[in-house]
Amino acid sequence: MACPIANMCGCRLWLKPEGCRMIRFILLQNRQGKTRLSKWYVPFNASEKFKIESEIHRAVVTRDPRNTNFLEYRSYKIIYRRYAGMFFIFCVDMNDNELGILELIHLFVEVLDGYFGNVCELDLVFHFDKVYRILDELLLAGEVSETSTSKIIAIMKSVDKMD
Amino acid sequence: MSGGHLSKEFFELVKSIGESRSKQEEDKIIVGEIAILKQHLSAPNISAKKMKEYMIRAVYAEMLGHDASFAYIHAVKLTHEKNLFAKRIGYLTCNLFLHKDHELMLLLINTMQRDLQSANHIEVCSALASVCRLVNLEMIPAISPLVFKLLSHPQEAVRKKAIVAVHKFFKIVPEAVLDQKDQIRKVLCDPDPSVMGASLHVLCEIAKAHPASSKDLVPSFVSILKQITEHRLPRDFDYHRMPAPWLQVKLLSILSILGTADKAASEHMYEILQECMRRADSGVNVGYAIIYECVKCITRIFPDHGLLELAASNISRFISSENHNLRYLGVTGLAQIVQVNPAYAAEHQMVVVDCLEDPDETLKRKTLDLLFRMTNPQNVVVVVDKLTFHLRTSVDSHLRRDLVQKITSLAERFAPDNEWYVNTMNTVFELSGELVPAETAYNLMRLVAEGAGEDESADTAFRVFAVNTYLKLLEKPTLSDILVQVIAWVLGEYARLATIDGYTIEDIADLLSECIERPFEDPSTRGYLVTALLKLIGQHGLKSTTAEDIIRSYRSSRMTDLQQRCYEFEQLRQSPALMRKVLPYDASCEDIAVNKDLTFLESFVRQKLDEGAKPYQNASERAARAQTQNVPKAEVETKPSLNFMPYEAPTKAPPVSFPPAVETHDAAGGEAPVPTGLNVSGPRKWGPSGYNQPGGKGEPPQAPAAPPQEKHVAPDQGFSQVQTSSQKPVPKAEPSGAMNEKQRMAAALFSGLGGAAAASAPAAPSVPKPAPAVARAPPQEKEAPPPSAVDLLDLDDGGSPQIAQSPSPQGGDMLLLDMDDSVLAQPTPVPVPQPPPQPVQPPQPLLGPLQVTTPQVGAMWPQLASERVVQIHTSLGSCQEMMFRMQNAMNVSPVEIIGMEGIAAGRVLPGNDPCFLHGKLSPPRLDIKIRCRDAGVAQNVADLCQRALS
Repeated sequence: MACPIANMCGCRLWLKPEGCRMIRFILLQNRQGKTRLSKWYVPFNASEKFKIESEIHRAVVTRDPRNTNFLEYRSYKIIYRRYAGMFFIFCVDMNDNELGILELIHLFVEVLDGYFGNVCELDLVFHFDKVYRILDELLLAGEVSETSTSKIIAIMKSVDKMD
Repeated sequence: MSGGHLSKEFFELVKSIGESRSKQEEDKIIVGEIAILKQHLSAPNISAKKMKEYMIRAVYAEMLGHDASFAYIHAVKLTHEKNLFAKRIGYLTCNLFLHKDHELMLLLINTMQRDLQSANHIEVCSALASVCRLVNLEMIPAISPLVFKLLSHPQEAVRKKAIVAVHKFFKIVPEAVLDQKDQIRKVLCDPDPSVMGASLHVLCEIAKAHPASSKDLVPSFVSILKQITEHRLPRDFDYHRMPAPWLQVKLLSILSILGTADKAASEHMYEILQECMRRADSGVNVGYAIIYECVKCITRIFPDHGLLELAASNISRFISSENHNLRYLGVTGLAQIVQVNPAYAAEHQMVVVDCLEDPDETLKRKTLDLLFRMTNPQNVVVVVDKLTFHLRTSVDSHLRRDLVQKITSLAERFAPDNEWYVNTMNTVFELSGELVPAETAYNLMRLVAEGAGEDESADTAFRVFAVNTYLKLLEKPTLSDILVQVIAWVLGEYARLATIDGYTIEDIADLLSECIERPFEDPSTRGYLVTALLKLIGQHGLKSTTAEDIIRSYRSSRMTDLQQRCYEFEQLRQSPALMRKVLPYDASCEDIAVNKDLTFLESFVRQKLDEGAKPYQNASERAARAQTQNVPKAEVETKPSLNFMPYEAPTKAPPVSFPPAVETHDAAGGEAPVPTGLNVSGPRKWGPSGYNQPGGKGEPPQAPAAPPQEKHVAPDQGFSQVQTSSQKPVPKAEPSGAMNEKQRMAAALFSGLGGAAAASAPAAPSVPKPAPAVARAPPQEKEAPPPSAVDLLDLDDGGSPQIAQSPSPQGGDMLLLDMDDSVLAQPTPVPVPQPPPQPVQPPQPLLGPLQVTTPQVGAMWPQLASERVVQIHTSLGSCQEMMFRMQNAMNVSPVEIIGMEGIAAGRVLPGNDPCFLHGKLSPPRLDIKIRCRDAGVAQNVADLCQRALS
C-alpha cells in the first residue's frame, strides 16, 4: 500500500514492505563463493542480487569459526551456518530470534539429510529443483510453515511418485 | 546421488559449471546455455517433459545471475497445462521468475482462479503457493473469496497454505481480511498443529495492528503454549526433543505484543512464561532460543519482579557463556533488561568489557548498543569515547551512521560541560562529517553564540576556547565540509578572541582564504568561508590582498550564491561604515526588526510615481477591477495559473540589473536599498525576509549572524540539557594503582548504574549518601516516581504507559523497588536536592490534540514551512505503540495508521497552528517528519519525539 504522503516524504516502501519479522532471502554458497541455491522472498534485481551474494560471501567466509553465527548486514541480520564446505545463509529482520533461525537452518539440513540420505553439495547441485520444493514446504512466503521433518519428507516422496 | 533424472545435456551443463574455475568461465558456459535454450524454446510442439526441463535450466541460469526473461512466458504457459506435474513446475518457476508487479501476472490470474477451485488438492496447493508469493493488490478481490473458502478444505496442506495466503492479503489490504476475522480465528483451533502454527503469523500481524481487539485471544495463546510445553503435540514436531520450538517462539512474540502496557493481559502470562523457561532449559540451542524469546517477552510486558529476576539470571548465564552465540544473545537480552532496570547491568561489567574487545564484529556492535542504552551522566565520557573509537576504525557505512547518531544524541543529552561537547562534536565532524545532519552543526554554532546564558564571563571563556580549538583544527590538511562550515562561522564571528600566540586577525584571514581553495563536496561551504572573510574584513577594517584576490576570483564562480556574496563584498567594501553595520560583531543572537511596511521605500516610490509609473495594485484590487470591466481575462488574473496571453511590450525598462541596483541605493545615500531578494542561505544578515535595511533611520543596526535556519529557533531542549548538566560537577573515578586496565574500564563504563556496580568496582566514585528519593523527585511525582528515575537514564521503554495504569500492590512494590535501585544508582556529588539532569520539561504542554483527516493533512502539509526530520533508534515494535506514545507523551491526536507508517496531528499551544507528525517505523529505526509553521516549534517537537519515542 502506498504511503498517502509518499510524494512528500519520499519513502520507498518497496524496500521494506512490512516491518514484521520474516526471512528476506536464503543463500546456499560454497567456500569459493559460488551460489548453489538462492531464494528471494523480497524482490531484488539481478545486479543487486549479485552484489549481495558477493558481499555476503566475503563477510561470512572471513569470519572466525569461534565467532557468532550472526552478522549485521545493511539493515538486516545474516544468520549463517557452515556444513562442510557449504554455507547456509538466511537473511532476516533485525528483531528476529537469532538462535531460532540458526536452529531452523539445522532443521532444513536435517530434512535434506533425511530426504537425500547423507546430503552433500552434489545433491544440492543436481537436485536444486527438489531443494526448492523442500524449502517451499519448510517455509512459505518467508515464514516457517512446517517444522516436522517426517511430514516434509512424506510430502516430497508422494509428489516424487507422480513423476 | 546422480543426475539420473536429468537429460545428458543438462547433466553436462551442471557438471561443467561445477568444474569451472572462474566466474568468467562460468559466465561463458551460461551464455552458451541461454542461446541453446532460446533455440529449443522457439521450436514448436515441445513436450511437457522437455518443457519442464527447459524451465529448470532457465531457473538454473537465472540463479547464476543471468537474465532468463525469455523463458518467463513459457513458465506461465506451463501453468495452463493439464498435466499435473507440468503445472507444478510451471507454478514453481513462476514463483522464482516473477514478482507481484510483473506484467505477466495478468496472464496468471485466471489460471490461479481455476486451479484454486480444482478438485485435486495438489493443484490447489501449487496455486496457493504462487498466491502466497505473487499476490498483488488487483488480484485480491478476484482471489480472496476462493482462498477464504479453502480455509475449511479437508486437506491440511491446503488449509495451511490458504492461511498463509490470507496473511499476505492482510499485509496488502488489512481491511479485506479483518472482515473475515472469525474465520481466521477458527483456524487457530485447527486440529492439525502445523495449520494452527501457520495461522499464528497472520494473528500476530493483526495483534500488532489492532492490539485491543486481539486481547481476548490471550487465554487461547497461553493455553496453546501450555499444551506445547507439556508435550501434547505429536512427536513429529519435536526438534532435539524440544516440542515445536518455533511455534513456541512465535507464540511468545505474540504474547509480548499483547502484553505491552496491559497489566491484565500480562498477568495471564506470568505463569506460563515461568513454566516455559523452566522446560526450555534443557541445554540445547533451540531451548536457549525459547528462553531468549521469553526474556524479550518479559521485558516488554507489564513487569513482574520475579520474572525479571529469572530473566536476568538466565541472561547472566548466556552472557558468561563461552559460546559466542549465547554471549551475543546475552548482550542483546541485557540491553533489553537494562531498559526496565539499569541495575542489572552492573554485575556483568567485566564480561561487557570483554565483549567490547572481542574480535567478533557482531558481538562488538551489540555491546556498543548495550552501552548506548545504559549511558548516564556519569559514564557518558567513557561510553562516547568507546563509540568514537569504533567510529574511527569502522568502514561500514551503516554502522558509522548509527554511531554518529548515537554519539550526537548522547553528547546532546549528557554532556558534562561545553568544552567536552565541542571536542566530541568536532571529532564526529572530522571522522564522518558527511553523515552528520546539518542541524547538529547549527546546534553547535548556537551554543558558541549563546553560551549557557547565565554567566557572561564563562560564556566568553568558552568562546575563546572554541575559537582557539577551531583555529588549531584549521591547520589540518583535510577537513569535512560540515566542520569547515562550523569553523568558518565561529572564526568569522569571534576571530578577535583568539588567544593563541602568533595568530593575528590577518593570519586567520589568510588561513581562511587558503582553506577556500580546498576541494569541497558541498558547494555552500565556500559561501561560509567567503562570508567569514567578509566579516573579518568588515569588523576589523582589514586589508588583506590575498583575501580580496580570492573573493574577486570567485565572482565568476558557477555557484550563484557564491558569486553574489563576492559581488556584495565588492560593493560593501566601498563604504566601510556601512560594512561594519551590516556585519556587526557578536550580534548573532539579536533579533532583526523587519520593517514589513517597507516605509523606507516611500521616497523611491514617490519618485517613480512622479515619473509617471502606475500605482501598485494588489491582487484583489486587480481582480475587482477586472470584474467591473467584465473581461474574460479576469479568471486568468485571479487564479495563479498559466498565462497564455502574450506579454505586453514593456513600457519602461526596470532598473534591475544587479550591480547597478546596489549602486542606485548607494547613490541615495544608503537611504533606500531596494530589496533585491538577496535571500541566501548563508550566515549573517540575509534573513528569509530578504535584504535587511542596512542604514535605515531609526532601525536597530543589528543583523542576525546566525544562519537563517536557526533564526526562529527557540532555545533548544538538547542544549538546555547540556547546560543543566554542565552546572553539575561530575565525580571523576579515582583509579587505584592496583587495578588493571579492564577493571578500570568497567568501573568507568558502569558508573552510575547501581549499588552492585559501586560495590564490585573498586574505582567507582565514592558515593556520598544518596539523597532521599522523594527529595530528588519533583514533588508532584511522589506517587509514581519510577518513570522519572528511569527517565533519568533515558531508558523508558513503555515505562510511562505502564505507570499510567493503576498498579496493583504487587506491581507497585516492584516499581518502588526499581525506583529505589535506580535512584541509589545515581551517585550525587552534592547531597542536596537538585534538579535531575534530565531534559527540562517545558512548563506547559507544547501541543494539544487536533482532529483532522488524512486528506486534510495532505492538503495542509505543503503549506507548513518548517520541517524537521529525526531519526530515532527505537524500541517500538508497532505503529500502534508509536501512536500510543505520541498520544501520551506529546498530546497529539492520531490521524491514521497505514502499515508501518503513522500520521498524528496536534496544534501548537497556545493557539491553533497545526503541527503534523509523520512516523515511518522500520524497527529499530523510526523516521519522524515534523511539519509546522515555526522552525522553533518544529525543533522542540523533534526533541520531544527523540525523548518520547526512543
